[in-house]
Amino acid sequence: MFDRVQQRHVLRRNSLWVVSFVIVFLFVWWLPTPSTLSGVAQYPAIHTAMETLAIVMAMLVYGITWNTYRQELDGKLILLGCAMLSVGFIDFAHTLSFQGMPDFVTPSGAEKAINFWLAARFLATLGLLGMATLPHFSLVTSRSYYGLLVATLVIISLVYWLGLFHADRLPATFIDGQGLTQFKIRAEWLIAIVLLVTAVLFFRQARRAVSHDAANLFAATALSILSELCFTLYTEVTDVFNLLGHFYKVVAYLFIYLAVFVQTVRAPYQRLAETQARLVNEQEALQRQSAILSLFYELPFIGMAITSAQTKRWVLVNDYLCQMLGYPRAELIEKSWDELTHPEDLQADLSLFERLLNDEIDHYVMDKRFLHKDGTVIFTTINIRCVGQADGVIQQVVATVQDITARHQLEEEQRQTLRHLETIANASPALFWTAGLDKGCNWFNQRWLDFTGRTLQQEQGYGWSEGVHPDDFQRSLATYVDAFDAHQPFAMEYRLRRHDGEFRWLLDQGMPRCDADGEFIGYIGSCMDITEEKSTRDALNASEQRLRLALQAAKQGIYDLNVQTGEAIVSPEYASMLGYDPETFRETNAAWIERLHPDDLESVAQTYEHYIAGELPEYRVEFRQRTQAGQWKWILSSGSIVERSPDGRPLRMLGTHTDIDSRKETELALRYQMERLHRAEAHARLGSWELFVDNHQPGWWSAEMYQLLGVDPAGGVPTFDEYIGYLHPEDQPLILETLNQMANGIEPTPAPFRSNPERGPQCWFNPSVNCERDAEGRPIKFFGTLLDITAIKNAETALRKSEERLRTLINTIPDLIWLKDPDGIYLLCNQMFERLFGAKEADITGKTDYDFVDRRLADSFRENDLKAIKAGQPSINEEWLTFNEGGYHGYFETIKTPVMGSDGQLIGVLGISRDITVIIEAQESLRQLNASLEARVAERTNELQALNQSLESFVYSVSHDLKTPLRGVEGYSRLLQEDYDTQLDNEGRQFINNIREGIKRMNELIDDLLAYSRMERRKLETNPINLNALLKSVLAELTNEFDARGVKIDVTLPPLTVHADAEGLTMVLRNLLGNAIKFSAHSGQPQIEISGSQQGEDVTLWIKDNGIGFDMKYHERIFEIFQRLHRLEDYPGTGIGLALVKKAMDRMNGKVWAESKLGEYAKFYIMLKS
Amino acid sequence: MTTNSSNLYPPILLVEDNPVDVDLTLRAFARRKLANPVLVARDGEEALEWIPRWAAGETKPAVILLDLNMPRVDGLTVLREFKNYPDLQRIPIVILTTSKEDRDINTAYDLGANSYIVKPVDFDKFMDVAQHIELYWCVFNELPR
Repeated sequence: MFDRVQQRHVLRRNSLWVVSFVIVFLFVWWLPTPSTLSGVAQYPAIHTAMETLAIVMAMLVYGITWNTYRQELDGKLILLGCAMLSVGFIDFAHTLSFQGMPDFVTPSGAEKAINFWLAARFLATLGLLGMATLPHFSLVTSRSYYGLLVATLVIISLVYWLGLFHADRLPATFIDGQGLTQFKIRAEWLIAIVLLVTAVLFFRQARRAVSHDAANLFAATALSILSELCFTLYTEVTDVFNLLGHFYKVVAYLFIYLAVFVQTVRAPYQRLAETQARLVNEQEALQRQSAILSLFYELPFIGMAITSAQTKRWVLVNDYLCQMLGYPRAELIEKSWDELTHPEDLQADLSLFERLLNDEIDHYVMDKRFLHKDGTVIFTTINIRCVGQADGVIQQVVATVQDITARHQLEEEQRQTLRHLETIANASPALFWTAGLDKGCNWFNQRWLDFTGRTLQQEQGYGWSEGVHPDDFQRSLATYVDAFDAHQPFAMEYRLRRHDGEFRWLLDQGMPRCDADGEFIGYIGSCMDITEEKSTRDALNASEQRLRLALQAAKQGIYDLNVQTGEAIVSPEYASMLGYDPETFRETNAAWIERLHPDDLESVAQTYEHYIAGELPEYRVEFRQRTQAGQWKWILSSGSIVERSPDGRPLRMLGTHTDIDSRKETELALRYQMERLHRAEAHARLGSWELFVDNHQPGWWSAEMYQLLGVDPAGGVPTFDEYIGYLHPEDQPLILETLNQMANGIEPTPAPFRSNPERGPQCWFNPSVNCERDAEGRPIKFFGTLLDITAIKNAETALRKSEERLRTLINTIPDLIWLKDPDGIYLLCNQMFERLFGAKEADITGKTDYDFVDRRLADSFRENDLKAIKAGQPSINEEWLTFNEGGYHGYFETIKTPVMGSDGQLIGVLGISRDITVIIEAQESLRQLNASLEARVAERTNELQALNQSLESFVYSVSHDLKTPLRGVEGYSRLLQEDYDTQLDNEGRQFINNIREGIKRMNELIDDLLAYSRMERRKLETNPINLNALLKSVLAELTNEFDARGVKIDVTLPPLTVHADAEGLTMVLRNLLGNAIKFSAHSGQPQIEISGSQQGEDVTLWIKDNGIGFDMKYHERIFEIFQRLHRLEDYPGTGIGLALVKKAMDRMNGKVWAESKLGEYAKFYIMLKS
Repeated sequence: MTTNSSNLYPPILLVEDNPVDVDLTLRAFARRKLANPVLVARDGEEALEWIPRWAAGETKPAVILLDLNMPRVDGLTVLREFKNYPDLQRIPIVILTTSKEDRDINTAYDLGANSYIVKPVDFDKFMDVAQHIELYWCVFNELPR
């Protein structure tokens, strides 16, 4: 196989070659004169040279393949070699037949040469195609090998024979003067195509890895193709294409040679070189490994040796072993290991060695002693293993030898020490034992064994426990195991059976045991017989226990105080009373004061000092101490000085502490209860008292008693007489009587009584009294309570008064009032109601309607009652009722209301009936009056309408009929004035002027009158109107007049909106402004001010002029029709304008008024709704 | 009464019962040199009598000036009749009256009056009105054909 990478590399290189040759070819083709070499005389020589080269190449290929043939070689190579052999021979013939060459059997010529040429090309192509397509095969036998050569020679002979002697049988390939024939060219093309296919195959094979050198073969094939192309192009056998073709052919053969050479010669050499290199590498690796191994072998702390299995002689030893045994290496090798072995160990070693040789074991390890050259004993551990078991017989044995002499000596020393210790232990009176890591005891001293009378073997492990008393066994085992697991020392007591069968108490103390490195290795323990001590101690304990129990039960602690130092010895109860651990508690005076409640410090200190000073017979004091938990505990401390110094100073004080916490608690609780009682009594205003029966001596009064009666508590409980004096004189006898009755066994009902009004404000009390009697029933002591019920009494009185007032009220009301319960039974009624039933209230209550009126009426009453109850609200009905008393018959409005109590429960139905007979009658007459009024109004309206219509027609005719003649007069007077002016004298003209003035005035009158009537009759349309905009438009209409008369207008009107008829309001403004202009005409500077305001809904606008004004006494007249204040010639006008304004304002529900000062101003107001 | 009945211009028909008004109207027209002849009907009945004559082929008026308040047949009846008559309903009718009543104005327009003019009392103004009527209805206004 060819290396893929290398093949690709070669392929790349060859491809470049091929491409460059193609370029050369194309270049030559492109040259304008393809036949530059034509006619060169030396061309046959050149040709011969080229061909000779080619023949040599072909022969070399054959030679190499034939001679390097090996079985493993590809058979195709031989095939190629043979093909090249034939090609060489035929090319030889071709060379000799070339034009211009001497005759070769037959005369030379182009065609002859071409025939041989084609044959050679054909065979060469076949050889390459075979390489590309045939599978790998081997020529196994030499027969086929030589057969191939013979076949080749036959083919060569055949070609020669045909080419030399039977050229005429071959198709024409070249015709002189014409050049190449079509056959020749096609044959070359065919060969070229086959070669092309071959080249592609080689190219692809070269990209994979195949068994032949495809890359070089690809180049050979590609150049052959180029060569063929050249030979299809030349026209003369001497031209440049011919030459190039030959050149390419030589190069192609060179590549074939390369391919063959590479595959058959170079490749095997390369492989050989690679293998050698690998071998060298492996050898080096082995050498390195061996060096490392030898380092191990010469390790300076272990002896190593290889010995012969048969002779037991040392074969190989390392330095360390030599040193160990004290022999030089050369000397040691002369010896066998058995002769250096300690005689005592030899037998064991030999027997193991025997087993090793017999293949029973593959190795063994043992401690054994060697003998040093100087005779000393060497302690070793050896490890023996056999090697080199050729044919199952053990040849050599490998041994490692470790020197353990030092360790062995140490162990020996330890053993000695132990022996000494054991001796000591056995001599000791104590019982000793040791235990290993497994907790089992592994050693007991002789004392132990003597004590139990058992052997070491019996006691070892847990054997010892058999002697432990059954009652102690579990406890002591648990103590032992727990301590053991924690590696803690322990001490325990248990009973162990002595050899005589008696159980003796032992104190057993154990300690963990460690080796030199601090590693835990077990326990060591010692036991003492403590039977005697224990019985004494138990007796003491029992006695102490009893005392302690007694003190504990009394909750008493004992202290023994050194007064001088302040230190105290206390009993455990003293400590536990305060919550401390008695074991660790230490008492001193300072600590005691520190625990003392701050409030108690002073009293305790005083008591103590008084006692010390001898002022008190005994030291007895109560105080609070803080317990460890931080709570306060009451302690009663009593004590006495038991020792004094000669000068009388106290030295020692003995005493007890008693826990009085619960007593104190009870005390406090009692006090608290009393306080609560007092508070409750004060709240309820209830006092309690006691009184002795026989002598009326006062017993006890609660605090509230003093309060109730206003007695000063400082004076103590008052005597009975004093007490009576605090009560109302009228009630006193009753009280005495009640007590007497009580004393005599009669159960009285105590009635409320009053306080003495002379002693303070009047109070009411509700008493309650009881009597305590002795066993014979004799009264001993009264005890009672007094409840202040003044408030209730006052409320009662107020209620009664209120009720009386209400009753009077109800009876005074002229209505019938009553109340019935839900079942219809009367609860109350007023005097008016009594008249209905003709009975008194007392007779009515408790009865129903059915007892007083007939069944139908009663049913209807009841029905209305139930209706009101069901509705849950007042129901009203009207009815005719006839009084039983007096027989009055009237119409009543009855309201029935369900009445609920404060708890929401229905109490009954309240009824109120009112006599509305008069109202009904009044309503009736009113209705009749209304009806007649309406009729009258309708009548009047009709009349008015008729009147209005006649007025309308009147106005209509006025408008038409009055104006028509007027127009005639006007027209003709005008005509007269114009047409007959010259015929009239001045007076005549004046007459006509006067006529025309009259006409004008009459026309104005008619117009104003029409406007007035129209304002009266026309239908108004009330809309919201922007007053400012309207005013602006009216002012605009009058602009000319203002300008003409030089009137100054001053408008300061805020934005206002009014509801009015637009036309009517326009007319109003026009008229008022017209008047203002007219009446201010004669003032120096006519000025009109317009302004307005809004107040609520009322919008007011005023127009003020600085004209002549008017006397306010004419204020009403100016708004009347045809009323004038001035002469016509001064101020023309019809006297209708302001009447029209007033009419319009009235119709728009507005107002108009004026104020003025004669000769100064007139100010007109109008007011409308916004 | 007819004036220049063979005139090239279509006539104006004045329906007016008041002789003073007729006279003044004619004078006003005369002063303004009116080219159209003016026909006068002295009451409603007389006005209605023109209907058959126009049907017979006499030149229809350019405009009819109609007073409202007249004896026998009043102006509104005449108006209604003329406007009901298919051949005549296109002739413009101008109400020329003294009445300024809303009722009259509205009714006249409802019945198809083309204009409503209140006769002014002032003769100068009256002449202005006459001139404007002539100018508007006989010169500017295009009549239906």
